[in-house]
Amino acid sequence: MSELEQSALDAVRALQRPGSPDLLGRVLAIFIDDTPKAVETICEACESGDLDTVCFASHALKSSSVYVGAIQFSTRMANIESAAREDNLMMCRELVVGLKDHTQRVLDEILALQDRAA
Amino acid sequence: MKPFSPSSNKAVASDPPRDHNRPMVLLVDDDVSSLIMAEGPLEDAGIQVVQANDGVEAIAQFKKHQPDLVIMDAVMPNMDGFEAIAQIRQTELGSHVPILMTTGLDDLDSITRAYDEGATDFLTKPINFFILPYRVQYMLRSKDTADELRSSQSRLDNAQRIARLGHWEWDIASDTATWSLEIARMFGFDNRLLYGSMESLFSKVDPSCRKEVRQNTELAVESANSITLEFDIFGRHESDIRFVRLEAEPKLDSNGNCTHMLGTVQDITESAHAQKHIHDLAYYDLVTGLPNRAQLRENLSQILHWSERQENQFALLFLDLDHFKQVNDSLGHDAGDELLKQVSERLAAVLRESDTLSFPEGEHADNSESNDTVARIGGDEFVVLLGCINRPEDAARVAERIAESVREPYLLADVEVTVTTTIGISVYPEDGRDSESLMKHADVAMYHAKENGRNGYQFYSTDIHEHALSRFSMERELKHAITEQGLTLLYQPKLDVLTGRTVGVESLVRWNHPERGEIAPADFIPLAEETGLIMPLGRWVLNEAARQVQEWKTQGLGVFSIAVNCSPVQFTQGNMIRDIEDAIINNNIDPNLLEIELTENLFLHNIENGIELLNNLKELGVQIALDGFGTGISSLSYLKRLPVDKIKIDRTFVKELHHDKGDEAIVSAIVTLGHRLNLSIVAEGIENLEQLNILRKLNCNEVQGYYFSYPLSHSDFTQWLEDQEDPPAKTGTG
Repeated sequence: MSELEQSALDAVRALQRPGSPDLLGRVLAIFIDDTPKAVETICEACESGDLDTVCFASHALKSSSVYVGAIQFSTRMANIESAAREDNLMMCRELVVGLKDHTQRVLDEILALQDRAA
Repeated sequence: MKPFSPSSNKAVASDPPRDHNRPMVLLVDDDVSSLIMAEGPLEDAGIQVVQANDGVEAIAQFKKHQPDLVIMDAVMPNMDGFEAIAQIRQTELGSHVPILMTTGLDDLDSITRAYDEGATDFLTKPINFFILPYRVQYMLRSKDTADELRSSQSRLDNAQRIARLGHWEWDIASDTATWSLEIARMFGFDNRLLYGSMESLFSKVDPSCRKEVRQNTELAVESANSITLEFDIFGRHESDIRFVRLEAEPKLDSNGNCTHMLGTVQDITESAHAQKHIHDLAYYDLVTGLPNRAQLRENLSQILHWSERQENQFALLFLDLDHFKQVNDSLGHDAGDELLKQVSERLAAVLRESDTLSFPEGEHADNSESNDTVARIGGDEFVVLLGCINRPEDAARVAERIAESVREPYLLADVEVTVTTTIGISVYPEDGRDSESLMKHADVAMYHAKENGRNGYQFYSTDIHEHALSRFSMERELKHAITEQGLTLLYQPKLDVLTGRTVGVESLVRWNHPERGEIAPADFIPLAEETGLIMPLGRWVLNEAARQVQEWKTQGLGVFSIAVNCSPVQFTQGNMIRDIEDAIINNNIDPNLLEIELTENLFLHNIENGIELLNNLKELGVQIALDGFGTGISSLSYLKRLPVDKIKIDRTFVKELHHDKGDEAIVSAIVTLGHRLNLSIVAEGIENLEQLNILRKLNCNEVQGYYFSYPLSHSDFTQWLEDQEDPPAKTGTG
């Protein structure tokens, strides 16, 4: 099952203005650039119990992942943010189990998408 | 918290130059993807976009670009959106800029906080970038409308401030009033408090006219009419007095009832001052500050109108300064002006005193204080208008005082100068019934006075002049007579009708005039009453009578009462009770020996006051006799209420008593009535035995008249008393 929802990607494509740089390409590139670092931050912060950082980083990823169509990933980030906001470290730690794999699956699909576009 | 920057791809590059034909939006988000996705649709909608990645940058960008709208993310590094909104709102430009906050739909706390910090609206994430431009355009239109309203409000406030005019509206049913900023300023209210009750506006009105302003406004509501009122208000403090004009008109419902009053208040303090200044320039003399000819004409016209209705007399004094030209020529115009000023001050001072000068001791003209005017009508010419005089002598007295005051020396530029004045007087209505003739005649009179030698006064009418002079000199002589022993008392005995013994004496005042000889009371008492001299005269008589009766008593010549005639004027204008008490105490006499003779005239105007006076008199212990009984017009019914001891039957009934049965019947009735009221009856004017016999038959108690004795001098009366040692002859049955 795909991690990326086509309709969200189509919505970004629809925003493309003629003669302007490839908008979807830029959005995907930013996501690929930012996401691994952010996920790493979340994992480390869960490890050290820094829930503020968990909350802040998961909030940012929650928004940016929606725009690239990674809806399940976004939902996961929303849950992490919510748990962090409720000071539920245990829940946060449960939710980050397998997060890096999940991230990788999303990134792989995006990379494939970029390859096809190229 | 670890520093976490979600994007290394900073979107905020160099900003494009501001295009003033397009609205500008500041996009603030730490998510660069959001920024670049939002930018396109906004640009396509004709909106210029600048960006910021966090709150700190947002504030810098806002100050730099002054955008028309801000789209602000809530959660950002460095400074979050809430703090950024709060800071933007504190700037002057940011206080009204629309701010659209972007936040998660589930985050209700953030939404509430966004509004608390001053967000205009919010947008849920993920953002629908297609709809965003429409939302932004809608907010920009609202902003334009709000800006226009604010600017219109500000123009209105400024216009009202410049015009010093504010508006207000009163909702009658709820008694709530709203008012504009200018009214708040004018009335000294807090600028933020632009509503309240109508009473809060009224509370600032000068208390002396507050009730009237309130009543007029309420009346306008009841009658659904427009009103214009002018009054003083107190602003922030009591010394901040402003003169305002209030105008209001009713707003009616479909039934024609007034539901609201709409009005304005304009501060017209300065224009009122200007108007007064203009009026002063037109109606007052610049050199002396006195009314000029125009103002005099107005005052004169009012006095004419008033005097015509009230049938009053008034006088116009026309005066100029003798040899004023010489002062001007020798000392210069400045000294001349200074002289005019000083003369004006003296004239005004004389007029202030004229009340007491014209109306001596206790006597006052009803409206004298407000109707007098001193005016300078040109060069060295002044006019004094005495608004109400009782007789021409009053004007003569003021003229004399003016002449006296003006001739006191002046110090002009260190030089002592003396000038005199010549005064012409015209009197209304004798010398004219209109302004022109009165002015002309006063002027003519002044020239006559100059012909007769300067430094004096002259009435226009020779008759008035003669009369005034004669009365004036007689008054002066009488005054002199009172203080310098020019008066004497004569004594006419009163006898017991049965025993023939002297039981009392009536004192009668005479004036021994150095040139005219003895003057009878009828010839000088009216003058004394008119001029107020009756008060000192009356005191002298009382004192002299008391002294004399005590002297006879000490000499062993008998203990009897002495009657003193008193004028009603002494009671109504003087302090008669105190005068009588003083005479009793000073001469150490038994009060019962003093008999006060009064006529019914005392009760003519106010019976109750008269009765109260008599009661006070009785408390002193003196006897009271009602003189001239039977000739007055008063009702008999009050006689029983009067605390009098005696009735004196008037001489007119006695005169023909022996020929006229009618007179006998009247006297008989008076005696019977008097006795029934326990009053003693005295008959005066007895000239023959027939009269005496009838009076004895009618049981009269005391008699007095030429048949027994003429009024006698002090020494003759002493002799009379000594002769009393012999048995009385004349009251015998003869």
